[in-house]
Amino acid sequence: MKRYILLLRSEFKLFLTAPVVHLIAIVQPTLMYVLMSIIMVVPTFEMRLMNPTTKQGENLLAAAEQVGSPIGPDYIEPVLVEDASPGHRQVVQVVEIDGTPTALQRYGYIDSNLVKNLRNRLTAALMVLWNNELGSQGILIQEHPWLPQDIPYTVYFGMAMIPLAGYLAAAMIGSYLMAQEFENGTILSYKLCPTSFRLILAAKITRLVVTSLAAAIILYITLGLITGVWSTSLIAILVILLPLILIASCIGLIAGMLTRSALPSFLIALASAFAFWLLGSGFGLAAGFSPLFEIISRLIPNTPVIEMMFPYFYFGKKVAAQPLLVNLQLTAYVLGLLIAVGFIYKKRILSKER
Amino acid sequence: MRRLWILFKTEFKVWKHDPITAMGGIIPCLFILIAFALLFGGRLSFPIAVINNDQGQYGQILIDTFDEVISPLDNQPYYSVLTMDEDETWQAFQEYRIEGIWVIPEDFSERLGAADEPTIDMHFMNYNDDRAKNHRIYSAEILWAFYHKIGIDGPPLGRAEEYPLSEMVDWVSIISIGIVLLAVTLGGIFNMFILTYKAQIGKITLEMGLSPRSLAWVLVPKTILATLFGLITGTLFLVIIRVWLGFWPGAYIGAVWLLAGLVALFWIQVALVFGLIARNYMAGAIGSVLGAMIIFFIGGGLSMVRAHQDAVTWIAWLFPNTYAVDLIRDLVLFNTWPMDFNSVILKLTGFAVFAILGGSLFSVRKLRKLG
Repeated sequence: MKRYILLLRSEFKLFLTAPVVHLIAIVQPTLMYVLMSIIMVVPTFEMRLMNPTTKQGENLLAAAEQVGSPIGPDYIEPVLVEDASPGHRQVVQVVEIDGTPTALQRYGYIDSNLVKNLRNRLTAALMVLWNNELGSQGILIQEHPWLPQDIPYTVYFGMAMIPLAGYLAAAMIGSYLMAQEFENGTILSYKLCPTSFRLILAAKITRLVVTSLAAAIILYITLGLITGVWSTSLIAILVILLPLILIASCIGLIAGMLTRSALPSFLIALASAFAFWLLGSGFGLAAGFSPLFEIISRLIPNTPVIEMMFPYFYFGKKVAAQPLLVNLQLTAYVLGLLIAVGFIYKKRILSKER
Repeated sequence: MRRLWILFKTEFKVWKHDPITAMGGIIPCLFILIAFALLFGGRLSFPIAVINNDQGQYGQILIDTFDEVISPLDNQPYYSVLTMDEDETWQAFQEYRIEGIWVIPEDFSERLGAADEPTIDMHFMNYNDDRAKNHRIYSAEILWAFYHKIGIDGPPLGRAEEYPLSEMVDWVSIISIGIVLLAVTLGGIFNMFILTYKAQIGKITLEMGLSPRSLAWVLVPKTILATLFGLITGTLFLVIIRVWLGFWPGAYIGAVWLLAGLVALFWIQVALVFGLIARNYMAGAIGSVLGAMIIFFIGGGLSMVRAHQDAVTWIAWLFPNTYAVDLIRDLVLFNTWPMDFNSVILKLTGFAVFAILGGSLFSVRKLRKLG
């Protein structure tokens, strides 16, 4: 135990060899979250409407202002304009087409997602008018949302970035420091070290886990401060993160040992961190996207981790349908990678051929 | 000129020893492109279930309507109605295996026919407000089509649209151009980094510091080479996009290179300066790469800057990517010459000149001082 603590202490001292790399790896996801939370998609959209000159135009404007959530924000922020040109976005003008008064929406050079959003909002406003005219014949949709209030997207986005923070710190620092040992020639001391390689790896991984948990806690606190939403248990969140951080630590160490060069090992850590984040439910729960995406997403360790964290942020609501299977999956990943790290360590560092 | 050429060839030989660097701009961008294509490129219909208790005909007509209302996002219906029994439906909703449940009451047709306030219950997911919003406004699309289908007296205001192209540009294509610019940026950063990193670990920086000639002879070939590799990386992604999504700038390729090259010049200098400040090129490169990734996300990588100007933070305007990305989209996706091309080129040139002057002065000073 004493030897393990000594090894652990020397691992932590490695911080001094690369303080900037540590700082970047720990703080980058939080910085990214802070910046992205400012520009995060919000339900309220600006819609350019021609300044109404007719009764129908005025009615449309009034209807647009009614489109929104009864338990959340409005969906349309009308911007009145005098010019019928769509500019870089769109414009709605009330015109007569074949003798029928029509809300004509002209689009600029925009993409299909923006067209969808603008079309839906206009339709919603037109439906307000139609239902008003129909009176008691109009269909009323009675809403029963899953949660008592619409939760801002920044909450989910931040929660899904916590695994990224943990992963990035472990993978990047692990890969960089391991590669540095080769580049600086200090790998020789590992080769000659009489201590069991398991103890050395245990110290390395423990140190990465502690550092990554610190990165995750920084993001967690930032998320809470920005959104005002805190999980019901921080300890539970950290425990849930552990398997992912172990996976990231192993991937980082393996990358460092295989490439023996800081640059490619950094690339592997970076690419895997962002790919896992994007594919692993980073932008929304996997079940909400295409079936193919969901299948791939469920293979990524971030997805089960996020699904397990979900109830702690969302009123105890559970979304993981197969908790036992998920735990088995994560355990298999961790065990497989731990074995791989030991095997590669023996091959790349302890082998007499080297 | 001959000296410059010799130095350029020397730098190229250095690069040839570590061609893995070229992957610096390719691997992360390829992963991101694939991830976004999987995320937003597939079928995005909301899976829902409908419990139809209606005793009349309108409930079934409403169910049939779901398949007929097509979203412009992916040319698929907004909703994909799944068939499952009622208990399973509620269980699936509670575990978020489906997005929502529409319950049509047994007297729906009767009330609709009698104009007696017909209702439908919509249970839906609102764990994020964007999805909740989609449910609310998609339901308007369904009702709009349903009213037309059953022949209810027409709306007081009709709906029409005009799109400037015969075919709509999809969201993944918009993102892919953001990734092209990211690839140029990362390609430039990584190559600048490896050239200076090699000089550092080879202790050539000391020789550079003691050189009796201007250090511009050292920095110019590195900058040119890094810019070239950045552009090659970006062009590779343009080819990927041509094959995959079908977009190509054609005669505008020169303009794309010009815009992207000016952006790359800015970041190459940033990489150089960061590397020297940190006295560790690797840390500098990591910082610049992650910085470029952040700018990709906040500076129009995922959506058009012009169409979302209100959502662009002031920090994004401090970087050239935010100005250039929409122009590249004009040239590649819309095959149209941007109206603001000249003014943006001026701004990008300003960024590049500022970065080169600042970066070079700083680098020369550091190299002379530290070697």
